[in-house]
Amino acid sequence: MNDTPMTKRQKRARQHNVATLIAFLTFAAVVVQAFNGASFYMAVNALVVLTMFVAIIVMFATRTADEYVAAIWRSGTSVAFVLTAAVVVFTPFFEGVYDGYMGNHRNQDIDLSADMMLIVIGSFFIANGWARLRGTV
Amino acid sequence: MKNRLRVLRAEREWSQAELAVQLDVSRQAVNAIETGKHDPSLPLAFRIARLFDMPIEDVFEYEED
Repeated sequence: MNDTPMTKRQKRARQHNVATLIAFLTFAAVVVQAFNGASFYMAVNALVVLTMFVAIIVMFATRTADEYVAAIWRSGTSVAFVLTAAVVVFTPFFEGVYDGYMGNHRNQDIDLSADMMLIVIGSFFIANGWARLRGTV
Repeated sequence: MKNRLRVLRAEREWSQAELAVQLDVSRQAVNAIETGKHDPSLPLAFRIARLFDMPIEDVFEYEED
């Protein structure tokens, strides 16, 4: 057992890592519910999403715990930002191409209102996990 | 960037956690630096060199891409 006392900065880094794990697990539960049709009770679903949000806030508050945590945070947020910008810019373009191909100009075929949260947070966790496994260099 | 952090730490029989406390970074940061997954900032690189009482270029070796 390691009994080396932790510094304040190390405690904040540990808080960040625990919050990241909780946020990832709750996000995975949201994804499972969204794609596999698992039907959580409304109250459970709300609790899961609220827990994920609180964990993300803790991650944000502790993102500068040390420079390695900050580098991992930057990796995740950078990818999420670029992907969000790409989706926002190119989705109307693909909607137009699809409508032109189908001859249908009235319906909104690509509806991102529900999927946007999954895309943004999912891309963050993919980049975050990649940085932890493969490095921030 | 290559570094001799793992060797220098082992010579002093320090654990990653003990080194992390002395550098005031997380143990994960020490591990990431040792395994080459994270290049430390210049201030942290200087702190590491001073802790081992060595010139910074004896701890870190810059590699051209």
